[in-house]
Amino acid sequence: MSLSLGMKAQIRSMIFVAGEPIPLFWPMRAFIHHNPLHGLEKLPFNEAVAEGKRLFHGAGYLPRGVYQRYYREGRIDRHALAEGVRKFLAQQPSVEGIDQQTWLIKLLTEVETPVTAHGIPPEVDDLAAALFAERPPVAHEVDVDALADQLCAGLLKDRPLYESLDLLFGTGIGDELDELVIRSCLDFFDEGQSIWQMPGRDQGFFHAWREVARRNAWLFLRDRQIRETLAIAEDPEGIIVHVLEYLQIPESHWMRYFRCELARLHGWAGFIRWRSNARNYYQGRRFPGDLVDFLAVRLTLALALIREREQGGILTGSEHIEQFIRQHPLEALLRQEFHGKTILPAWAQRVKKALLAGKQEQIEQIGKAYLQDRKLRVADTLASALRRLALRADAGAALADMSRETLGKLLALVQEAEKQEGMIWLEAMEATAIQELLQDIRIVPPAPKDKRPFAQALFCIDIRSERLRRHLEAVGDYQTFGIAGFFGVPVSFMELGKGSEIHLCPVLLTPKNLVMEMSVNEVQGTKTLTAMEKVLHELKESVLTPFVTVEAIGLLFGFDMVGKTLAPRSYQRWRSRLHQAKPHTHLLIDKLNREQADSIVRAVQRAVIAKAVEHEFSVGPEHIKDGLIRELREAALGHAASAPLLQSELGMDAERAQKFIEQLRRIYRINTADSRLQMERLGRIGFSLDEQVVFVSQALHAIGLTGNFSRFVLAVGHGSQTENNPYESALDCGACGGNLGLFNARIFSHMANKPAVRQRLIEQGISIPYDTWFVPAMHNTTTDEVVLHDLDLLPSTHPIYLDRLQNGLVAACRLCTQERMPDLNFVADVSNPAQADQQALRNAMDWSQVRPEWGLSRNAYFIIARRSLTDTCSLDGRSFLHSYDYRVDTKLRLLENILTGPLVVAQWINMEHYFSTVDNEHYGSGSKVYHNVAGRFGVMTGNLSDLRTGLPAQTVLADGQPYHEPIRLITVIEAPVKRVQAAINQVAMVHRLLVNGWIRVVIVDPETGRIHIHSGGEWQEYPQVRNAENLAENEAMKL
Amino acid sequence: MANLSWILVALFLPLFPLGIVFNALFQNVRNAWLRALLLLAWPLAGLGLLQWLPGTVPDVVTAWALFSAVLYGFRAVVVREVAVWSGFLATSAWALIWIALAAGVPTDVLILYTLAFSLPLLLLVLLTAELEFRYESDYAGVVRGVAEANPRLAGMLVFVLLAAIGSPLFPAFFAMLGIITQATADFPLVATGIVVVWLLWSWSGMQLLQELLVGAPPPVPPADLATGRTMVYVVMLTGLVVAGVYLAERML
Repeated sequence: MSLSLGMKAQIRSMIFVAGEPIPLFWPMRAFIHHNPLHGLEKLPFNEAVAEGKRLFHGAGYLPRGVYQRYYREGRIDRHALAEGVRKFLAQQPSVEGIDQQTWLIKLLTEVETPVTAHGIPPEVDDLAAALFAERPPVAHEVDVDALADQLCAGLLKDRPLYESLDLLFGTGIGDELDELVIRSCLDFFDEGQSIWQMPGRDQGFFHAWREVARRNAWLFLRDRQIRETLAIAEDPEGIIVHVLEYLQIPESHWMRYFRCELARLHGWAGFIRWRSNARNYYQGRRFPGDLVDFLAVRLTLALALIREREQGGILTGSEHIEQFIRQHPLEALLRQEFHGKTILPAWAQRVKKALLAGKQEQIEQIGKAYLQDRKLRVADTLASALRRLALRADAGAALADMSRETLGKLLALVQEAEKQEGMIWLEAMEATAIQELLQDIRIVPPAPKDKRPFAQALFCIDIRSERLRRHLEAVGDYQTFGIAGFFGVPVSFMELGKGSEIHLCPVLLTPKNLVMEMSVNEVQGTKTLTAMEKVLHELKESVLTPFVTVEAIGLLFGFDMVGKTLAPRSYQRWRSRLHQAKPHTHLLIDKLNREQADSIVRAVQRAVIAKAVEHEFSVGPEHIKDGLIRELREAALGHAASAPLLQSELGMDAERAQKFIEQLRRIYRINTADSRLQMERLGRIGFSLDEQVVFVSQALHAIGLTGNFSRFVLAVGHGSQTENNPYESALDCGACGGNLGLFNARIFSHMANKPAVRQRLIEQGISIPYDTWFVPAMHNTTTDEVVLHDLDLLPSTHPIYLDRLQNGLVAACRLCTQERMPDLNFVADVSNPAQADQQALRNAMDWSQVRPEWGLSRNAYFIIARRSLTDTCSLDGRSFLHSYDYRVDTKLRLLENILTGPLVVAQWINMEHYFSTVDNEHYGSGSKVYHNVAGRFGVMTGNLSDLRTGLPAQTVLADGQPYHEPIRLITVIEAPVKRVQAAINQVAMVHRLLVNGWIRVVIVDPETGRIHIHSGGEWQEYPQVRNAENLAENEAMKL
Repeated sequence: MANLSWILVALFLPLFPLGIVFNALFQNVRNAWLRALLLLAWPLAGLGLLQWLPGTVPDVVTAWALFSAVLYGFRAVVVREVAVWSGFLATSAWALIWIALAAGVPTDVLILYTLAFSLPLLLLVLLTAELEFRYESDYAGVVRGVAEANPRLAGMLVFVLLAAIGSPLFPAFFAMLGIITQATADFPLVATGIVVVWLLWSWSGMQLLQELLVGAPPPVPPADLATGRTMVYVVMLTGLVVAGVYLAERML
């Protein structure tokens, strides 16, 4: 089969669109928090949740029981819930004779499980009979046509064909297919976990798989079917079309079909989708693979498995299955119920026997009886639930006297309420959280102090900074600011000793500049230890060697295990001594000018030529003179025709000399093209002075720090410290692309300390005093330790104050740990900071610790305001805090930047936590205990599963119950209303999030003292309790 | 008359295809106590009839017994109803008595073997009734999530099932070990076959447990096994372990 170019393009575009709702999955080395329903953000929140349920089978809200617990504990305000119910009832037809509000409140708060959640709508007559203890109505003849329609809709739409076969005939194709596809993906996408690599990977996923498919032991049994399918077409698009045509899928359904296929292993599909679009991803460029390849592999395997069953007499082909359903709807129903394991347990054995016997008459008889029994049971269950509900609503008599018509209305109301209850609970929970926050904020800022603070500190907006900021402000004369942890400097970074670049900025940005880390002193060799570690790794990972290794050196691992388990802190300290400490480094931050870059290229080329001469002609350095090198370089670059010195010094003929020059060009890459490339690469290194001024100015303006600078200004990046934790980068700085924030802090401080930058900043209205020094620091969020860096660069006037600064930091850190540790359920004696400190250190080094810290769990707010708005209240480590002073943002650019970057990233983090909490199995990644690293880029549950994409249970749940309180991000912006509205309207992405209800926005207008909230699709003024007090305070201050 | 004796014994110590009779009867009897009685009385009746058998057990019968044990063991792998599984496991286990008989194991020890196989199944049948009472069925897969919904019932099911498939320290373990030891001397190949049978029991048992215990429990879980009743099962299981260890020397 050969497809036209147009058809191929059509298939590709269909798959592209089908893949849109599949959430991207970044490799876990740089874990990116993301909204699992990001692809559905164009829909309103509740609709997207419903679509997510259809595609990924995930719940969008907590179970009712958990909301009820929150309600009892006061975390959901009763008035807020009542208001939600009132709003819901206003949109529903009324039910006469009952107090609907009371009924629904009782239903939501006192009945633990939904009463209509059977999936089968009960009939009012059956319900009435069950309710009023009447004889059940005579069973009607089954409407087989309606039943067939219903079955066809359920079985043939929105699911791959093999799922229908599994449901009808118990073929188990789906699970087997997933297993084969996962194995194929593991083989191809592996990034170094396996010693034996899949051959031919550079040809791309489909072509490499195609080559090995016939020799793969897992596929051996389906050899013939696979070979036949693969013989149909050379390219993946052709295979896809062939399979769909074979399965009789109408072309109009192809895109939906693709989407269902992709959603089935959405972790793998999300990874492949991300990988195929990541232009700078080395593995992706070297071994290409996209969703078209993935679907071609999947559909080839699916067809092989289906055809295998076909030989056993199972129907295949969409049309054949539809025909079967229409001919035998009762049998299809029983099959679906039995193989789908939704059958009433009492009927399981009887139905199984009937299906095995295969007598149509008997099957139909049982089918009818089953339908009738199911109907009556549903009615019975519902009737008793309604009776209990009526008693709670004190309306038992009303229910007993209810007419059938009213009963029908009541049933419809309860069904609709239970359908929408998730949203009612969620909005009530959010209303409570908003109320709690707003009652403590200080709208009117205190009068500014004349004296400059002892130190100022710029922290990441991360919620974990809030505690530390609060304590630091409390222990001394400190002023803190919140800014995205990359300090507004997007940079690609090459760490010392690492061969690849990492992007230190939010994933929304692509950095243009590269910064390299260079060692100040000579790197000490640890070759023996490194070689030993490499040998051990290879012995462990190989196929055969572990058998020998365990006998020979197993004891060594045992020693390691005992040390890490029993005395993690002492053992890790001892072990760290075996490794050479990282040498002192400087960063190449300033851009090279053309002469400097040219000089570097020339120096490198000269060194290469010298080595080449030494290697090719086996001559000592005494024969390799500068003149010779210069001449060879000129010749290789085409600036000279020959190299006479080479001939005379080394005694060779012209032909040999010419051959060597050619070698220099080809093998040693001394040529003009490579020189140009090297120049281009060097051109990326560092920032020009203009760029540095822009970045520093933007950052300081964004947080409103434009004057009154302290002697010390700390730029505090953050990161975590954990052992044996594939999710380590999820605990690092999200604004730095899931990496440590230290390097950005160092780069920013370097720029801000540069006299030329400061000179130019004066022109922009920022005058940084000569004695102000920006000091980079690192906040370890697992231990709460803050370490200052680059102290060797400190001016000689500053060390005398350093002791006070460090004491302040230590005090704040210990108070922070003391506050944080009880939440991790470790410290019995909360009043003892030393004990809390020790426990935090142990957490950081304990390889068996599945929850070293809570990370970003319990995030709820994003506050874009001056610190004075919230500095009088404890936000309990639940708020992203971005400093913003609307007074310096006359053109709204700063606010727009905050909305575009930090807010969107915070919303991803918030939604990742939300969905991982409400349905950890589908949107989260389940328990860490069962996780295994897959291919060095993801984790699977057990030895084979879909890539687990969300957060593990240990991050969001405590003892199986939510620790994170799942609500949408409540964004509070302190600025005049009109200006905020204008800024939001300018940022389309944020406007869409707001309108579709993915975030809640509250505007605190400091000029009017009024608060506005976006609710129900419009801006409303928030009724304030303390607003009057605030205004009175304002007036008093003016006087 | 001799042929009739063989057939009768093969009915009560079931050999294929006569195991069908026991299994049909066992599946149709719905009362748990009657089922328990059947599990106990049926093989003992077979042992009682052994005295009528003329001469020693021919090799072909030994081979047929092994075949029957494998067949019923394999049949147990594919069933999902706990009660039906108990029936197949019983027929598979009792067929092994023939091999012990052929290896010259005395009748009193054969009785011990039979009890070692039957008693755990008897407990399982009683527990199955508890399961059916709560879930209206004992069909693993359709009934699922028992571990989460009824942890005590699930715990008892696990231990009783482990006892039934001959896990160490339970009497069936020593019985299997005894039969294998006895058979190894005379019929080494048959001994290997018995190991396969043991493997099939474990496979089927674990599969059953997995489908029964794991998964989403019903939204409104039924009441768990009462503490008192749980203690009765614990005592009985402990009794089995003690008896197994105590009688191990005689069975081996």
